[in-house]
Amino acid sequence: MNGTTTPAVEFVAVSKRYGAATAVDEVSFTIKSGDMVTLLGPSGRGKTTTLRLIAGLERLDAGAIRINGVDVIGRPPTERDVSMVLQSYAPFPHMTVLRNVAYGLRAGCMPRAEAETAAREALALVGLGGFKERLPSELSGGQQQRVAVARAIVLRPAVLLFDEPLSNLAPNCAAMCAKRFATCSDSWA
Amino acid sequence: MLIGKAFTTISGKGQAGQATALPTVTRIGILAIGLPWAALTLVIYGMILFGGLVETWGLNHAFTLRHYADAFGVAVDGRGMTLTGQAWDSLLITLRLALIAAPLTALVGLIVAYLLERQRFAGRAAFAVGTLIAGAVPGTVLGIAYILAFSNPPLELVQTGAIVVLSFVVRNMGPGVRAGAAGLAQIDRSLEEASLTLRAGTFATFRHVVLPLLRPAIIAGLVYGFVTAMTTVSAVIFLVSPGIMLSTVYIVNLAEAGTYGIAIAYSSVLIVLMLTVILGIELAVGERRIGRRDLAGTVGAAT
Repeated sequence: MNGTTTPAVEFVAVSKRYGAATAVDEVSFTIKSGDMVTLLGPSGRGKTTTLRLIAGLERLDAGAIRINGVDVIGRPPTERDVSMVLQSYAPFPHMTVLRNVAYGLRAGCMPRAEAETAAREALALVGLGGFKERLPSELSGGQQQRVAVARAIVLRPAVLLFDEPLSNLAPNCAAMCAKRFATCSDSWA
Repeated sequence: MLIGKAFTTISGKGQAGQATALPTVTRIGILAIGLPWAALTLVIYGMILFGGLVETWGLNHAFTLRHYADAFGVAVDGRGMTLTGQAWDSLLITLRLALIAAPLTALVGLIVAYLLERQRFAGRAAFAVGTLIAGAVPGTVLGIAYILAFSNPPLELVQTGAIVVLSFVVRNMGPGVRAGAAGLAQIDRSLEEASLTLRAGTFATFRHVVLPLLRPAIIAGLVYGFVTAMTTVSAVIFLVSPGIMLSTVYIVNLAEAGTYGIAIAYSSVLIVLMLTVILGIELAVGERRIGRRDLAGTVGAAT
């Protein structure tokens, strides 16, 4: 998120079908670097599919997707500079919270000590500083969600995707998190 | 009925707590069936161990170590240790082939399970049946089929250890495949997707996420692969040769010749050996640790 004029995400007439059902139908949009955009709509209208197309978890049937001006069609999720917090959060159940958050950095070959320091900072940011050694099964749904958020933001991706990020949080907590997302978005821009 | 199956239980989210305690009547009922069964099993194994330590089982119960000395005698002289017992050759060959076959069986089983559970391709159902059919046909049929298939160049494997290992792997991978498929069906795909979006490639994802969660299936594949390799008679009875004699076939030959004492002593050694290896496999592979709620003194978090 460097504030240049190249759009962070660009959809050009993107379509995605599952058999006979069309999930995304010739959708085009542009998201500027530093912007926080929310997709709204009833369930089953392709919001998740759109995010998955950006992340590279789905293949599109027609159109083009550019991230930071680069055509990413055919590129695996690992080469897109995108992180996604999935709807199910999917914390790795056999790893402690700290290892979960350091996972992406370690996968990128960062030395363990450095990765864990960054992971601690990210955990402090989501208010889970004291939960480093817990397993995900020992956390509440909301805490697991925050682990997933910390795990994604620690990578400082160009594009950060949240699928239903506030669905599992109590209303007061959801409002607080929404504010934090906005703050993060501003501070990275 | 279960075609659109989704058995995911390992998602990291909403881990189940402790199992509910059974009602007393049910518990007593289960124990009434289970305990006599366990006792029967213990008696059978006890009798085998006993039979190896007496002169003639059922006739003369005088204590002796003669059968063990015949089978597993060791001579120590000035030049070192020599294995003089008649069972050593077949035991060591069987052990070596089983230890080669077990990891191969588990590995092939896991790869096949991954293909069946995570990939969609034409002929998938036929492939699934094909992997299980080798376990379904009678072992002797499989053995003869192997002799016919591998007795001519370029794959002339008859009378080698390779044909025995091959038959072990093909015949015994079924349960490993099923355990692997069941294990994979339990692992939510979102865990793999999360790993991919965290910039871990396919291999790293498999190595750090899928494999650790598949530990129970790996143990099942290894243990089954090893135990059945050590105990199979039917599939290998036509594949042995003077150079490649296997324990089970050797024991059958001993029993046929009427030397039950040695056969029983040999069986006892196999039982102890297999128990040791199974415990060793469990120690080496380790547990899958995804919850601590069963440990006393730990409190699950709640907000």
